[in-house]
Amino acid sequence: MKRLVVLIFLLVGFGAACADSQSAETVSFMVFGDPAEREAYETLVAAFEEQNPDVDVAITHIPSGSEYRTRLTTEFAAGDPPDVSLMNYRRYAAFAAADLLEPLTPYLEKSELINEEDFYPITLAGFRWGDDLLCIPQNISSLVVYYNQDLFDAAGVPYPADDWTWDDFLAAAKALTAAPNADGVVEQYGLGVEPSLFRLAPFVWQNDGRIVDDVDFPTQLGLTRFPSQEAMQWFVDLQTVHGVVPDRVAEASQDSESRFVAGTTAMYLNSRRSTPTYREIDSFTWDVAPLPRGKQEAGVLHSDGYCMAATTENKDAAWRFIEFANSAEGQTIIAQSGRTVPSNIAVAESEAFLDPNQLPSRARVWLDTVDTLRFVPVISTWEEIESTASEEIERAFYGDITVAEAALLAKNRTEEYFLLGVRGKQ
Amino acid sequence: MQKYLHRIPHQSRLRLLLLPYLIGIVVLYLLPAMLSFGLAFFQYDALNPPRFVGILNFRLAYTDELFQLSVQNTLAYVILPVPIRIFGAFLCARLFLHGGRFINWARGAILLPGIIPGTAFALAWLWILNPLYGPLNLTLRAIGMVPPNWLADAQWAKPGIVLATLWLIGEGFLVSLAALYDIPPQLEEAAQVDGATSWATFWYVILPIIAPILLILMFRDAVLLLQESFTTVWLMTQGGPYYATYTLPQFIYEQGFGLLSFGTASAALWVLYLLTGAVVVVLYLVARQWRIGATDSVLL
Amino acid sequence: MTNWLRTLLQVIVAMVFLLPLVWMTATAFHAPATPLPTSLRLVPDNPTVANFGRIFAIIPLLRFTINSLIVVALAVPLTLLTGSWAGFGMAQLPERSQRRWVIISLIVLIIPGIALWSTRFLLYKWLGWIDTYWAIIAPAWMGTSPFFVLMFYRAFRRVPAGLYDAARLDGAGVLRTWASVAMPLARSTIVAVAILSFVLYWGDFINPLLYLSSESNYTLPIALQSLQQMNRSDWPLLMAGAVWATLVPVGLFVIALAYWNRFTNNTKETVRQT
Repeated sequence: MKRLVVLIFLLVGFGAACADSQSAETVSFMVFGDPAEREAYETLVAAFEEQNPDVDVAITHIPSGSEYRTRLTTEFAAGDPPDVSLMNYRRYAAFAAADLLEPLTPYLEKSELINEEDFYPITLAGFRWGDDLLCIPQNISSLVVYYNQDLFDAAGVPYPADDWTWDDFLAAAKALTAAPNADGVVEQYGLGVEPSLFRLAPFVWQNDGRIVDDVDFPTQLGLTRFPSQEAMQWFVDLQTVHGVVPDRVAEASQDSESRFVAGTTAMYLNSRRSTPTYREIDSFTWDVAPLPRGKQEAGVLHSDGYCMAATTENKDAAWRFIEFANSAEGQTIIAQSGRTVPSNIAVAESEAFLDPNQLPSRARVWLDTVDTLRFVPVISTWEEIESTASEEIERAFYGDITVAEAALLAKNRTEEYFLLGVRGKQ
Repeated sequence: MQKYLHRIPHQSRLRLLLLPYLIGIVVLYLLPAMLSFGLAFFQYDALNPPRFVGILNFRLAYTDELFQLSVQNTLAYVILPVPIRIFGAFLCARLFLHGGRFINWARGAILLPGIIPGTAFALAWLWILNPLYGPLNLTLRAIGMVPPNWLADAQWAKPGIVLATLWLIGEGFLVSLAALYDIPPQLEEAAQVDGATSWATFWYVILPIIAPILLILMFRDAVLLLQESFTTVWLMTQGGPYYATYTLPQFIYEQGFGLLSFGTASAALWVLYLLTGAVVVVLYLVARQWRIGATDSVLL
Repeated sequence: MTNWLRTLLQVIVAMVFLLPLVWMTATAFHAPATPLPTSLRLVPDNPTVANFGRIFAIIPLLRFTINSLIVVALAVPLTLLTGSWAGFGMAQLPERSQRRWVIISLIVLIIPGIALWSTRFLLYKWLGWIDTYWAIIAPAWMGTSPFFVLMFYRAFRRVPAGLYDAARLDGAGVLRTWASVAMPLARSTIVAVAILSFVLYWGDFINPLLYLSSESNYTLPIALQSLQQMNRSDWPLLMAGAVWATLVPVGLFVIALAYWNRFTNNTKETVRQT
């Protein structure tokens, strides 16, 4: 028995010791995304490790973007954040405001691999905090319309044109929505879209409306203004009036993205992010179209950057990884996986991104709309603002409250966050 | 080890065996509990040194509508199902008190849902309660009912989650079973000789004897539910739709781990301490009323 | 109540309790990428095990399973050791001290777990235990839960004190008495605590959620959450994951039930010892 006791103690000690073994040259790297995206980053890491045998990059993959921040926050609080993390430009400000991120301007200036001029300026702008560049952007993605060509063909609806309008969009969505079956279940929807502020934003802009009163010095949401509300009404009507989007019950039973992948939804609004996942679809052919245009053209920037924690011990190794990931070579690897619209202009224009043998065949859509892209404000409390506003938008979208009520509630509920929010100092 | 132990008197050696337990209680329970008690007066984010802010955290937490809502939901979530759970557990125990050769297997079936990992259980129920394709609604539709939309409906989300927890009554079941065994069979026989129906025997003879144990079980169940609710709610609804299932654990998780407002989280915990304190007092009174000694309550 | 009626009721109630598990398992065998049925059926149309293969392709499930096994392999024996020590020590103290310990245990039992989340986090951070299994198995150093200690206490108290005294007179020390006299007499309690603590650590979601960060350290419950976040509506896949995570504890439970049936012919005793 005594021997058993000793054995147990040894075992416990050994096991726990195993769990926290971290060698000096390890760079921890946190990403979020679908399984197919994860594979892309594994390829990138493998290529990096081959050229840098002295560095070991350990990936931690968080599937959900919304939980990503909680996880990162907790790890910063624990004093052991990932050395490098991939963050959206809407999310890094909370960490920047607490001085948790390493400014990368000096590194970039010294780099022989990458230069500021290599990147689309708007992506860099998203990650500029005051005078410092805090993260190196990997992509210049934006919201587009993914569509199922087979369903369009079957319904005899022409594919979306490059200059289609809100009316064309609605007409297509209506034509592609099936009537309810005997059980009252709609088996095919014309459209799937997440009822959130971020998805709504480009439509508000297209209608000359505003998301916030001033994108550089935001003090409140701008949804209550007439043009914004008009756009919001049009967006909400897609569900409440036209029924071309699943209602709350249908969405809870099977979410829109799964429906699109399963071939029972004709159009789905998403960024480039999910392309690797959709490339695994073999039951139908799909493509992408630009967002329909309203009074004017406008798109919304989706950009993620590689950020370094200020407390990182191996800053050199961490930077080498960031540098590699954003060099032409690194961005090519990720672009080939389909995950990104490269922020590196040369790679974006290359075959790595515009590969004619890969779906989507209209990949140029992303590059052609670069000039119309806008971004949401960079402020430390943006995540709270967005999620709070989205709650109200969702309620309106599913018919619980009117658009006017939702706009007002969203504005009032987020007021405090605008007051608490911190922006980068110029 | 034995060699050194020999020099210590027997009693002290026994206490030495209790040492890990004592250290654990102090370090893992009492210390954190007291720390969180005091942390309520500080602004602390684990990154910068704590700053004394008086009762600011209390004002922040207790004026937060979400906090108020979370307390309401938590109370509803605990008060509503606990009596059903415990009474159900007791009825099951009564049913499974005697039986044939396979009685142990049948009892095992009642305990089985509690063996399933909480996350797997929550996912299973998320599927069962799926409004369009879930087996429960398919069954209800097959028998001609118009089923509710459960978690997709603010009115039905809470009942949906409560329904799932009705399957997790293993502990109450076992304790009731043990308590029922402790009732001398003569008592029941005597009642039946006096002409009481089995329902009357149950209602007037057995239930009164069991009542104090059921009451204690209820309090224990309340504490247990409070804790378990997080995993279930987190996986099934994340507090939605529109905060219909938003509970105190989620508020504390979001304050502490999402926003790093450990002070506000601790201030919110005070309401929990008050409730728990009240429970302890009531438990004590119950125990005194029915003359249950501390060592007897080990039954739990 | 007549016997057959009671048996019938027992069968019905037992089935109702098994129903979630049955539905979960049935859906796990539904063919992937085919529409979900809109009418009730217990056995899917073209049952397949493909979903299980898919989880392994999506997440490193084997790694997570091994991690879960490591956690229970560390925590369960440790729980049995420290829990039975504490119970054994308590059972032999003078009556007054015993009562004190029981009261302390009950108080600890009633502290809600949520109250400890943040401050344990700070404590573990200070100890450097974040993202290690230390943080997950820490309670095992004290028998995991006062509940288990009290179970051992109850079992050891039922042993006549004379047995312990006799062992002591024979020159056996405290540890030897514990190992050779007390433990063998508490076999069913050991099994019960082993199973309960296994279930607890195997299914533990909150502690890994709060205190683990590296993916290479994840345990199965966290893996299930990841799976859900990746494929919210892929029910066959999610159910396959749930079945996978349930397999081991249910298997153990069934083995324990069989053990129970074999080693106790007196059902009354069985129940008392749980």
